[in-house]
Amino acid sequence: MFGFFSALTFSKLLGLTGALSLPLLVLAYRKRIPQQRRPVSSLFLLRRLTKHAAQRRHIKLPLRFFLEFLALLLLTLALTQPYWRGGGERIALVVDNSMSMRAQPTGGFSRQQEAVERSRKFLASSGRGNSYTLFTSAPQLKQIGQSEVSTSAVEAELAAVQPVDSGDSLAGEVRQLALSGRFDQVIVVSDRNAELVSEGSGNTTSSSRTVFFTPITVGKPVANIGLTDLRTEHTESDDGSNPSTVALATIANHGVTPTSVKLSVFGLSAAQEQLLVTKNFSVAANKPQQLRINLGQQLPFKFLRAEIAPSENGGADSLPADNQGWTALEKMNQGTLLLVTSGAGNLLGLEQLKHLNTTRITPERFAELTPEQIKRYSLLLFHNCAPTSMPATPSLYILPPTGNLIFPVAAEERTSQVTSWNGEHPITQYLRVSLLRPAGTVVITPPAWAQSVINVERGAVVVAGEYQGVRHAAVGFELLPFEGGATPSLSVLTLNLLAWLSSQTAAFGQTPLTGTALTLNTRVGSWSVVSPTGETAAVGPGTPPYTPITPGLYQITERRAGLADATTRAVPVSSLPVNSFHPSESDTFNPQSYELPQSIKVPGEATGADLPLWFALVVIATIALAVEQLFAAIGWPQEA
Amino acid sequence: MQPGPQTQYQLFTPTFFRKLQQLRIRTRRSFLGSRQGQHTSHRRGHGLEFADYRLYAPGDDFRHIDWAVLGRTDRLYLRQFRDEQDLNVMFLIDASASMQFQGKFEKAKQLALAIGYAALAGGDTVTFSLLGQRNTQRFRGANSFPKILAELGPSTAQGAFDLRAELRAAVARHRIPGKCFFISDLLAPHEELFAAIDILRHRNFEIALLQILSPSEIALDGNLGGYVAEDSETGDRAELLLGSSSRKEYAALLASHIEGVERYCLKAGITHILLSSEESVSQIVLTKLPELGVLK
Repeated sequence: MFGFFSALTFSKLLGLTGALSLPLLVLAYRKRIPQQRRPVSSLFLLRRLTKHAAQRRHIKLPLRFFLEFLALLLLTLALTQPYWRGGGERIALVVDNSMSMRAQPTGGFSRQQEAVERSRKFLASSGRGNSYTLFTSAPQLKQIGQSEVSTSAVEAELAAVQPVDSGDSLAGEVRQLALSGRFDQVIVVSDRNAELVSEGSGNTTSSSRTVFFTPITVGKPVANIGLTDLRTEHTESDDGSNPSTVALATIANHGVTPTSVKLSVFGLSAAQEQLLVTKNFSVAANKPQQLRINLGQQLPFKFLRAEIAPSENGGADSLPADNQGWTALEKMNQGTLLLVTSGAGNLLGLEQLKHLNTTRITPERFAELTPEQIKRYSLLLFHNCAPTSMPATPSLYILPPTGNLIFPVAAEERTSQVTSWNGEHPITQYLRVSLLRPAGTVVITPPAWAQSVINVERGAVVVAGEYQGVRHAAVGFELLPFEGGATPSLSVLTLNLLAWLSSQTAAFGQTPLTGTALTLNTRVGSWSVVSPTGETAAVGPGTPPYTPITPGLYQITERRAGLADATTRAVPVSSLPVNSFHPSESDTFNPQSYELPQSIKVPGEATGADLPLWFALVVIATIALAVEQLFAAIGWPQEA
Repeated sequence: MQPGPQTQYQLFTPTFFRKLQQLRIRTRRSFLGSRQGQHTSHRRGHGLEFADYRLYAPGDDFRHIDWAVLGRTDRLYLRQFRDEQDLNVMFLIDASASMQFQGKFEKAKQLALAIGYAALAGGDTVTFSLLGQRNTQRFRGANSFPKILAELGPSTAQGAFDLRAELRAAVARHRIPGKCFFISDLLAPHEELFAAIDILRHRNFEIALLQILSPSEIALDGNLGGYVAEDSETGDRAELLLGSSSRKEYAALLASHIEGVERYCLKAGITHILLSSEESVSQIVLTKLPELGVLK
């Protein structure tokens, strides 16, 4: 019986204010009862009797009173929207399955195995009658199996939990899970230490209940080496000769002692993988180290894969999952550049870019070109001018004129100080943006399809974006003539812009990480994504974004609708490297922590699994009132 | 429902009258009367009861000479006899509003009429006082009964009165004390009652206190529940919430009140008789009162 009442919950306790009507009813009857006047022969004895009756508070209330009282009481309870919970506590069991849970000391259990075991122990010690819902944390919180199942069912689901090669957003998502109001308790099993904080309330109303959190921490600090970054760099002599590719691998050693690491770099093409170089390095403890490996020139590969492992007699590596990385070799673009600028003259230093074949024409001459003629160029550069319509070729606009329709100019500045920039954008890589001192600046208003990359006080001075799958960028200050090493910042910016505009990975962004959704433009078409494990997914308008879980090369095919004949045609398959570079996951030696509230107040709303009682209470109250009225009509029972 | 004159007439049948004629008011003491009657008084007269001897004086009726005493003493003594006189019977009937409930007043009137007839048949002088209303004339002889009936029959109990003042006024009309029948429900504080009755005692009346209570006054029946009770005499109101558990308490209160009256009556030499308004008048008058020595 106690269990029944413990499962009874009230959503809106404010409804209990209806109980104020109950004493009013009693008062009304007390007032009503004595109002009947009756003459008696003498009050001589009765008056003396009244005192005794008053002391004993003898009140005889008629049956109708109790029926009305019952009806009022039931209606008051109905106002509180009570519901009977399906018995026991509803427990959410969140098991961390991020990459760090793969960590396994030599000869021991992995953290994931330990988490499963600790979860089973919790289930065994948990009270009877509880229901459980299993969640995994990576890459996002995901329910496993059915909701509110028994202990045995959730134990079966636990066996299938496997770690993934990505991070998660454990703290935030666990809190949101509690705020959903579906659960009474949230158990979090993770290799991270929970820092319990007191939290007042979420979105509470006058009626709320408390959801409690219980952290279970598994795993002990273990040493680990991990590859945390991989990229390539192209170098050449000042005269453009001796081009060379350099692989840059950042390695972290999480432990206490330096570790000898073997770095192997492989070249990847469509059909094969070739070991290019293997080198041993000594990596200091707790100090990420960038290693440079010169791969030579003219690599016939599109992608590189790097792999690290402890050398013989090297240190411990408890997490092999973070030992690989992929990157695309920046293609040495042998395209053609069309420089559109007024007047006659030289190529404004662009002739120094050996990988580009630059041609100069005037804006008037450009206006006379047909689309087919424009398509012959891989890049367009508009200097102090702009076309009247958006070209279908990647374009760079240097100092676009006021009134142009592509990159509207907002204001002009004489000199400006850079105030902010997007450090994640490829245009700003290798660039010390703070050293830029643009002069004669124009502030550009980014169109809806573009974003600002570098800003000054009054607005953006470098804007870049993708319009219908074609990249365009604008710069609000003078970049030309290209002077190479004489103006290194401007030169790097120029090279970055040209590389970004013509980059092979333009449609997808720069080396995405596992657990992060790919930015695929579904407005103009749909995509087909094949994972390194061979799984295919379709991404299009209305489908959720695709989130890669496994690191490696993804094959992405874009199907773009043809405007001329309204048919779809496939563009060539592109490969996209996705990496599991998650420094916090790789650090299995230093304790990681996350904030977890001790409890959180949530509105006491009934869920689908609960039985709302308010309707039944209203029905019973109505019946009671009807019976009371019936008694009143027939005058039964007769009151004394 | 109070019985009207019709009911009263129904009570007084020829058979009932004949039985009443057999009854006499009984007194423990001798009272002077105003006329010749059937009650022995302490006055010397021509009654049948021997009272004393006295020496013969010329002119005395020689038929009363006790010749046996002459033979023994050679002296002439006359036998003296107690004079038999009538009895002054006073009926004091509580005519306050409380008596109107459940036939108490009608019962009181019937009792007074029945006992009064017996007194009239015995040659006594009878007066009636409806306390709070009026006093009747003196009545003598059984032939005056219809007149009494006509005067008392239509009367009803109403209002309230000062008992002491009423009794004081009632006794003031009587030079000679006699037998007093005080018929009332006696629902008043003891102090008030006793102080009033003492007025009668101080005038040497022999008092018979007939207390009439209605069934609801005896057992609280019909007075249960919650209501505003209104005193029929004073108009006072009291909020009452009486349950079945109140019966016991009421019974104790009533018993205590009656016990107080009985103690006073015992001390004062007053005959106290507790009656219910549902009891038969004939039963009371013909059986109960003779058993209690009020009538003979």
